[in-house]
Amino acid sequence: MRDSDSIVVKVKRDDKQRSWIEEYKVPFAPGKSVLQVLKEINENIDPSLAFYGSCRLGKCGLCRMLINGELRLACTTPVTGGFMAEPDPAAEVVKDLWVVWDRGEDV
Amino acid sequence: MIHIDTDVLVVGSGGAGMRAAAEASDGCFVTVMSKGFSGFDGATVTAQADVAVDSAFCSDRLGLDGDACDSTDKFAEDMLREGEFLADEALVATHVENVGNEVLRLRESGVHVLGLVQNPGHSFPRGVWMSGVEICKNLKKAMLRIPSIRVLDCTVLIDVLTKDGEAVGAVGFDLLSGESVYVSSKAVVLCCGGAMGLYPFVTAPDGLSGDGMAAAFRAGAELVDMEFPMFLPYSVLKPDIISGVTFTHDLAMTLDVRALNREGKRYMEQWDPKRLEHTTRDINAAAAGYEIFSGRGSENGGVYLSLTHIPQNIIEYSSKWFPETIANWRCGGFDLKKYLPDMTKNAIETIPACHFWNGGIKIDASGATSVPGLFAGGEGTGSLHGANRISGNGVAQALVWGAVAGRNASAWAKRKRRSYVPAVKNMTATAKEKTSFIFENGTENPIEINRELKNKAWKNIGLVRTEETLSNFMTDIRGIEERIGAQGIREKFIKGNRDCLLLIQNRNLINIALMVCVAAQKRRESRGAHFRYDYKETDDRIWLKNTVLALKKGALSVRAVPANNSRGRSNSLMKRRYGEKEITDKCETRIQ
Repeated sequence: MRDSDSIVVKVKRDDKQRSWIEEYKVPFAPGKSVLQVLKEINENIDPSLAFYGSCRLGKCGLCRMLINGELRLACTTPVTGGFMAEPDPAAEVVKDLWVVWDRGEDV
Repeated sequence: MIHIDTDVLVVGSGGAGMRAAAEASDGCFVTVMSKGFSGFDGATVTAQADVAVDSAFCSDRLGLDGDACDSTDKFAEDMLREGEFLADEALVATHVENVGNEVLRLRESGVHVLGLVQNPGHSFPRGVWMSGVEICKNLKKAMLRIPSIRVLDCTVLIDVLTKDGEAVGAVGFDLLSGESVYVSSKAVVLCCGGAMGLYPFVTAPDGLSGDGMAAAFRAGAELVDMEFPMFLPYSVLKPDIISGVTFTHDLAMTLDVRALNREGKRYMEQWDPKRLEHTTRDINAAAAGYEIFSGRGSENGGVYLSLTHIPQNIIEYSSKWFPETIANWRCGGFDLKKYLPDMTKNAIETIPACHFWNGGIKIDASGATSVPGLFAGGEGTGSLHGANRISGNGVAQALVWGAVAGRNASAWAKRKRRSYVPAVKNMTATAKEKTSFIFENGTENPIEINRELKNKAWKNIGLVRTEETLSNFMTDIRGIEERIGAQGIREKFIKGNRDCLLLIQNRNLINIALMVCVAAQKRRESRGAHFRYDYKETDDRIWLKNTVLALKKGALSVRAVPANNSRGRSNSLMKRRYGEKEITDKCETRIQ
């Protein structure tokens, strides 16, 4: 999944008409979070990639998604190599990884 | 276009917005417009949340180990002194009298009080520790229980609407559906937080772009003391994943740390030879800025914080001093040791990161702005803290002033028989006009504009300001403004497009940047969070004044007005500082 300076990030995308897996080849630098890498993809590679995050500290819980099949927060999950990101299967998708939270389960 | 007619529109849903909505709902229909997902998107959720309450109240009413010798008066004095005498005494008085009951209310709703601490600047232990996450959950739970409150998630404020000089509603944009939202209301309450997002390094959430302050400005409201964004020194810079985490600041304030530049030199010896890194946050931030912009910063553009001379077991022990923030080296959702495994061997790269917005929309003690019908509460308002916020007053401001603004907006709305609802045709035209910039085929890349604005703000209107950096920025800002006028989404779709949000935020940040720059140019002294390298002194002869900004006939006007010391407390404190001697010949030198 990872050669010397780049990694492959797979994202389950969804534009409400269809859903597919997209692969991005991303430059790798150690010490970044999944959320930061998704932001880089949106800013530098694919402006159409949608996701959501806010506090970056593991507190607000709004960047929760499936990372390599496990439900985790994107902001506190370090990137050590290629990974696969999918929306939380329990949430309604707006687009790609951006889902609707009412946090009803918490409040 | 979606049209909603309501009594009170609250914009923002952090601590302030949720308190405002709850208070306003007494006899009114309330609509809450939240840029993100309500309750969890503002800064409140991230707070380590020590809420400062006078220590006597802490022991009498909260059952904590407080000090009965404290009083609201002494608390007010500490706020005025630490704010370098720019705070409005009427606001301070309302604040200290109300904050205890806000904490009591939270505790009664089930929020756990974790302890009482004494923080720098406070004469007594006043910091009531709670979790920001728990506060938000409880406030949201309370908000959802009130049937007269309707919440619009992921709906961004575009502009406040006025008619005959009065606020009559707002236009927003729903990021999820791509629809414009027209809200007609009898009163509007802005609780949109600070504008820390003007700078590239922040401790706050990403999305704080001064939306309320900018909209208030465009609607003709006055803003105050915008030159005082506060930077928290020694926030983590690297590794990226924990950038903006502040445990290093806690360590720096207590351990015998060393701040070093790239030459390994302890530069604080030049700034404050006695207190060194234990000097005030402002001087630490200015000194770091000076090193960084003189080309002596760390590899990634910050400064180094070294603990390497401290024995490992002492460093280990230090994490136990801060059970609320770094118990077992865990901070937020991070295992710090995983990312800084060698902090006993290597220096940590840190940076003064933008942490809090001291200035903001000018309000009176009822939360009313200078525009009738427009109220504001929380971090986006000014004059509560003056030039510097004392610890424990961030979440406190949100709770107290969200509630005050909500209550008074509701009273205002009840006096009005109906809201102003234009014909559908006019509404549609207004909504279309206000949101047209989102749909236009602009060619400028909003990501690049945002980066350029942040980098220029950081260099010129950030930690260290001079006439030169400020006038450079005034020139730069015109070019950025033009680019913002020509910006457009990079991919042509609307629903769930992150660029739409960025277009809106850029449009607000440019207003904020202009206000910061103009206010910083006006204030030719250094005070609190505002540091001018060309005017290093705090000049009490001239500058016991607030800068007041407003849009007048399409242009930004700035004036300096004497700080509101109506109750005379500041004057008596000043006399204590300078003796009975007149303060007219005094000019305090902060830095050699």
